[in-house]
Order: sequence, then C-alpha cells, then structure tokens
Amino acid sequence: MKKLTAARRGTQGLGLLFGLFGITGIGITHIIFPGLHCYACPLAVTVCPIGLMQNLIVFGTPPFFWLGTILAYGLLAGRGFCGWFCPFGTLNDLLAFRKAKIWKSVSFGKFIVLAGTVFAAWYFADTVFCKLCPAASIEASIPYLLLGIADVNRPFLVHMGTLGGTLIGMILVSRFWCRYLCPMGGLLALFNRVSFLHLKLDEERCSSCAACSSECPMGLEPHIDHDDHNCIKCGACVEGCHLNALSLRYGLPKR
Amino acid sequence: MIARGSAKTAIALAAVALACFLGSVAAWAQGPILTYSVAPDLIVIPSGGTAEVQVRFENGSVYEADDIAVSWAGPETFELAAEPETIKLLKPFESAILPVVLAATGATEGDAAGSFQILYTYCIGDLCYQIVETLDALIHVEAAVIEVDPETQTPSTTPETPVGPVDPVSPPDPVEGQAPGPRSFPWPWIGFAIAGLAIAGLLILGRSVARRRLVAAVLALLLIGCLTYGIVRNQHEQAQAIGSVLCISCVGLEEARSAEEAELSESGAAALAALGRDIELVLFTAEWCHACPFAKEMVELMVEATDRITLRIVDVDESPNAAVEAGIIESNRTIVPAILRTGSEDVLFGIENLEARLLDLMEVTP
Repeated sequence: MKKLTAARRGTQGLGLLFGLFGITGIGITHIIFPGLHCYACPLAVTVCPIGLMQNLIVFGTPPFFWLGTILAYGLLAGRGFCGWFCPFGTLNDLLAFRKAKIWKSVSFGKFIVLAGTVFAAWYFADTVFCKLCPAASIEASIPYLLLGIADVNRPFLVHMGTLGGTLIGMILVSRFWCRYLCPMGGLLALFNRVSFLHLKLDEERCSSCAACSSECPMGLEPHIDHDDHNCIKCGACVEGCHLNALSLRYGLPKR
Repeated sequence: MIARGSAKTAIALAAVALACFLGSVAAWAQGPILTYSVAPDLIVIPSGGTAEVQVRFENGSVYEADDIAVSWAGPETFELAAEPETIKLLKPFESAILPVVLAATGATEGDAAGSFQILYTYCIGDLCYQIVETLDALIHVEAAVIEVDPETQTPSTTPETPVGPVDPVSPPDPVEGQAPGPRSFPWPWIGFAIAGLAIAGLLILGRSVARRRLVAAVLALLLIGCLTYGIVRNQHEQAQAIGSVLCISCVGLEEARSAEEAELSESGAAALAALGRDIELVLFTAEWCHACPFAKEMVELMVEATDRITLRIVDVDESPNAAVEAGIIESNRTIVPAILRTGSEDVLFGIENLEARLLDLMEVTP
C-alpha cells in the first residue's frame, strides 16, 4: 500500500475509534465530531454536528459553540476530514469502485441539503434530516434493531430506504454521498480554500496528463483546479501523479 | 524503537482507556435536571414585615420540567405571604424567575436560616420522576422601621416596605419577575447573525488566492471568539446534554410504548388462568406520569385473565406514606409507574417489557 493511503487508513481507523468507541454509553463528551456521525449510535461518545445544529434550531439557541467548532474544523482541514476521518466517508471509500467524473452543478446539491436541513428543523421544530440520514441508519437503526430495542416499523423502513439508495449510489459512483448530498461536507466545503490542509500543484512539473483525474474518488481534475470545494484532500491524486507535480501541504494558506 | 504495529495498538488501547475514563466521570456526574438559586443571598426582613425574594430556576437538560412549585419548608417563624404561582412548564435550556414574598411573622431580630421546598416533575422515556428538594436561605431580621408621625406623635410601623439590599431607586424589574418572563432583546442572535455574515464575507474574499492568509487569520480570531463566548454561555454542556439523549424517533423507535395499547399475550393469559394462589398487586401512579396509563391497562388485563389477582391502585400524591413504605419515594425522589407485589420486596419500575417482568414478579411461567 502506498504511504499516503496507509496513513489515511490509519487516521480513518482513528476516526472510527474516536467516533464509535463509547462502550460506556452515549453522550459523554462535549466534543462535536468532525464528520457525519450519529450520536444516537450506542457506541457514540461525541455529538453529531448536523444533529446538534438541528437541535439548537429547535431549542432556539444561537449556536456560538457550534459555530466556533465548525470554524475550527474548517480551518484545520476543511473537507480533509471527509477524506481522512469521517466514518461514513470511510464507508464511501470502501465502496469506491467507479471513479466517474463529478457533475459540478449537481454537487451543489449538498448545499441544498444543508439549507433544507436548517429549514426543516426550523419549520417542523424537529430533527427531520436525522430521520432520513443514512449514517444514522447504519450507526443507530440497525444496531438498535439487533439489540432488540427497536422494531421494524415505518421510521426504520424509511431509514433502510435512504441507506439502500445511498449504498447503490456509492457503488455506482465513488463517494456518491460525499459528492452530492452530505450536509456536513457542504459545511466544511465552505472553508476548503482557506483551510490549513491543502493540495499544491507545481505547474512547471505538470504535463496535464490527467493521470490524477483518473485516481480522484471525487471525480475532480486536480491538474486544472486543485482547490475545488469538492476536494477531500485524500491524496489519491498525489500518489497517482508520476511527475510529483502534486503534493499535500499543511500550513497557513499560501499568499 | 517501537515497531509500527505495536504503536498502533498502544494508541488504540489509550483511546479505549480514555473513553472508559470519560464515561465513568460522566456517569458519576449525572445531576438533577434543574438548578436553582435564591436572590438576594441574604434576605433582610423587618420584624413582622415582608421581603420579596426571587427564586431562579434553570433547566440545563433536554427534558421538560413540569409543575415547578415553591413552598416554605421552615422554620415556622417565617411564612410565604401569598401562595406563589407554579411554573407549568420549563423547556430545555430555559430559565425562569419566580417571585415569592417571605413574611417574618413570629421571628425575633437577628440572623436565621431557613429553607424553601422545591417540587417538580419530569419524564425520561417511560419513567417519570418527582423531585422534592430544599433550597437553603439566609435571613436577617431587622428591627421594625418605626416612623414617627410629626403631627400625631404616634409611632407607626411600616412593615410593607421591603428593606434590604434591593436598591430602593431601582426596584426589581416587574417584567423579569414574572415567570417565565417574556424574552429579552435577542442580542445573542444579532451577534450570531453578524458572525455568520462576517464568515460568509470572509469566505467570498478567501476565493482570491492573494487574501487567503488574512482571511484565515480573521477566521481564526472569530473562531476563538465564538468558542469562548459559547463556553461562557455553557453551550458545551448543552451540546453534551443533547448528545446524551437517545433520539428515539431518529432510529425507528418512534411509536413510544406509552402511546400504545397494552396487549397480553395468549400464553401469558393462559398461564395466569392456571394461577394456583392469590396475589395482590399494588400499582403506584400519578397524574403527571405519562406511562402510567399503559401500566394500568396491562395490569388490568392480567386481573381480567384470572380471578386470583387483586389490584390496588395508589396515587402517590394522595397517599405518599404508602409510596415511601414501598420505596417508590426515596431521598425525595418519586419514580412512577411502579408495581409492587404485596408480600415481596420487589418493585417493578417503568413499562419496558412489562408483561414478561410482571409474570416474573408473580412467579408465573408462560
């Protein structure tokens, strides 16, 4: 396995561990998770940023702590968390068989999902997105069914429906959820250009061979636009480049 | 040099240990859902007079607190001048102030200690709790203010004027005194909107490569400001409180059992019909308990299935002594629904898997 991929598998493992190792019960820390991760999961120790956001809208709290945390994650790595940490992103990664080119206009769908999540939480005074969220399907619905607490009822079937749809999407198009639908990805994408983790392109070395594009799980073209808001900074393109024109850098954004 | 594999194992073990530690700390630190305080810290009352006291309630949990009532617990030399209002509902993360008027009816001058009694209820899932706690208050009784009327030369006491640390120029805001008071001007929301607009603006600026460093620096400052203000407002605790509640409707548990109709299985009914001894069950209920109707329905179905079970229904508010005896009220905490089998020590709480647990309590095997 290549170096970056090996490192990424390590941090993704840590993400799973950090997100899902709450053997002592749910909700025991103040930490907001930097990814889409259901806090209703019987093993969760952290709070889901999207779930918390909806609850704060329902309770009518101006969410300064939440905003500060999102800013911190945005600056620290932006969508790097999608590629290197998020457990649901990891599932997307494991099912990434077909690296089709991204539909740029459809990729704005995640901002629509984010706006819809906010609006629905306000309008219905309920966590509507959570009832559809495929991460919750895997991390909460199925575990609670196996634990004998939940029944196969309508909300469960809705969860299975969204999960099934997302899984089919993920198998047909790599990182389907991350590309087009994830509201957390949408939030982090806002900060992608100013985050400390960034992709660097040495234009003198680049021969525009597009070897990087064929490797990109998000279906981007790093040799043309290396700081797209969809870039999850996974480093697949860095490993795919034969001329070492691409590199992942960590530090203040370049001038 | 540590091998790479063992370093990973060490990290994994450290993470597990940390999670266990945090878990045990959190489990140990679980507190009541309301916190309360009394203002002023030292209540100054003229002898034979009254003083206005504000009891402040804060709900730091995601549960709704119901029917919050304040009464005077003692000593008897003081009393509440009027029956204070009850706060019907205190929503999650909200606070309310309840004004009460304390009268020093028989108190002598000097310092005294007393306490208010606070009573409220809340439900977590199937179980409903009633909490009775006391809130200590320090009282200083002053000599009655005697004003000498210059014309008649007769001294007259003015017990109605509250004397104390309350600034006479600015008496306590009557609007704030009503519980729960109307919302004040939404400064935090305006701050939040400004922060949001600033971030949006900065992100648009950040699209240009030349300004990225500056934008990142300003965003970092905003980050520190938001986090600090959020933590000062205890929003990290709020985040944890939200995370610690299982959103049952999110995971396919939407039909809460309290809304369901109780149903007795055929095997259970058959086993009860063959019951060979007399059993008395006592069901403890309360008006404020959401899951009690389900429990009552289930027990009544069992009573119908056989003529050997007698049922006694006890309202814990009407007969608290029986509830204390049965252990339903313990350390000022009432938990209902609860079912007791007379002659045994065991009490069933809640309605989770009620039929099987009830049959087990009666030593009936379906």
